[in-house]
Amino acid sequence: MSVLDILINYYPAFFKGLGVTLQLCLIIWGSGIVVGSALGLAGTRSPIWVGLPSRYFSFFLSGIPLLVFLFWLHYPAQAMFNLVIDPFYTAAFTLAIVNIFGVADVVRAALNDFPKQYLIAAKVTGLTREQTVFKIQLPLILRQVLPPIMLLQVAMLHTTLFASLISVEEIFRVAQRINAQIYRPVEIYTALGVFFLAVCLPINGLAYWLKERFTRNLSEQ
Amino acid sequence: MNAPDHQMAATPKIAMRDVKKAFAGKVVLDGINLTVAPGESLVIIGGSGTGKSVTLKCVLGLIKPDSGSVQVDGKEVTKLSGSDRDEMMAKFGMLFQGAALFDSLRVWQNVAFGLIQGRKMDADQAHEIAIKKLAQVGLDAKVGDLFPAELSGGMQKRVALARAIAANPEIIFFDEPTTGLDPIMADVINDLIVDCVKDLGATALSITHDMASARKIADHVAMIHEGRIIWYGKVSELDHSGNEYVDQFIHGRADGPITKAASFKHL
Ligand SMILES: Nc1ncnc2c1ncn2[C@@H]1O[C@H](COP(=O)(O)OP(=O)(O)OP(=O)(O)O)[C@@H](O)[C@H]1O
Ligand SMILES: [Mg+2]
Repeated sequence: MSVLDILINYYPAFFKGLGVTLQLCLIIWGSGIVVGSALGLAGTRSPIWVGLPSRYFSFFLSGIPLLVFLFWLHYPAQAMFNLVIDPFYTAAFTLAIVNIFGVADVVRAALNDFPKQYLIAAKVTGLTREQTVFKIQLPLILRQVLPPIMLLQVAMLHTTLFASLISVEEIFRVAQRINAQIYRPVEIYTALGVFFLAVCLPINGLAYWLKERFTRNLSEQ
Repeated sequence: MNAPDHQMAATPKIAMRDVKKAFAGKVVLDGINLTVAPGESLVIIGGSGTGKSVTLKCVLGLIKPDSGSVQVDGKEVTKLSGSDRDEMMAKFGMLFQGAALFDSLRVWQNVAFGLIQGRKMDADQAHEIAIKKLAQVGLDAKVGDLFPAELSGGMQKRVALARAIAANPEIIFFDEPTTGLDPIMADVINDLIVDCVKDLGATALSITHDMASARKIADHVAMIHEGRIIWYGKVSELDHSGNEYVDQFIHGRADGPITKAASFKHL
């Protein structure tokens, strides 16, 4: 059986798995970028009330292996509160939390590193507050945060595979199940690998290109 | 505005009277008195952390003093708002220590940006002025199409100078214009500064650690120490000021009254 045959025979299952992976990604990416950016911004505006707690929590998260966090939310936490939550939502929630704090860290760092002289220069140049935000701050900050955020999103896509371990029927679990039926690990996992390469490498490549192109000389503060 | 002409001429371009500023209880400016006459170039010297930049920011209206008065052309800087403030800002040009070029913009756009965004000039006209100003600081029109990151430190300083003079300011501020440059490039920049200021007939207020630069660009020198002006005089008087603080500073000696008073405070 070739890769093509496997695809032809099992494509509905694969598509379903792919759909679940995609849904997970959309939730994680969307919430991470929107909420994470807002949190990062709030953290610089209100360093004590928002910035400090979120930095501590992010530090705390960095000490827990993702799988332990995921399993802990899946079993003990739900047992403690006598809850049963669809593993899809548990996975989405866990990974979204990780992404939100990851994005917030990137955004906060970029905002804090923003050279104050630029703002003074803008003021002396006679720009209004809005012009300064939209023509000076936003473009420079976007350039700085875009590459690391893109790399983080690809890493988050990779972590969605962990959802298979709490029995979310995403692409990896589907692949495992089909393999259990027909035992074609070489074809199945090669195809899976090629699929992920095709999705992730362009994003990572673009991130590196942007980074290369736009890296600012930070000695110039 | 209805003062007679001879009185207008007597109004200093910049006047600071008894300006005080503390940050979180720590006194930085402890009664600064300074005046700069129209067309004059004053250089403020002094050690690190003595409040030079804060003084400059007070004049620019970026920091509000706790007390005292800061006047530009006889108008209180701290009391301005809205369009009066913009009008005041329009008189200013500034060269920053780190050049502070906007690296999202091309060189010519950096120079023209204030004209287009701040003064609503159309892009073609602003481009033309930018190229002229770049030529004035010795840069080819081709440089205008590059990005700041593609330039050497000395060229960036030139661009920053072109930007500072783009709108023909009446007052130009120079914050440590030569730091980070080799002595030869520093001298070139000093010459350009002198030329540009003369050319515009502008008033200049500068801060520097670099005595060679101070000697070149200053008409008058003021030395700041512990938040006060402890010496003020003509640049030609610098070498026989009779002030031991000034002597220690201009000769860069480790031993003297400046370090005697301060050496234990910072430990
Ligand atoms: N916005 C601010 N908030 C709190 N403290 C400040 C602020 N700006 C300046 N200071 C403090 O005021 C003091 C004087 O600062 P300033 O930048 O004027 O020094 P300076 O004379 O320009 O020194 P340097 O030669 O190193 O640039 C410093 O101790 C600095 O920490
Ligand atoms: Mg300073």
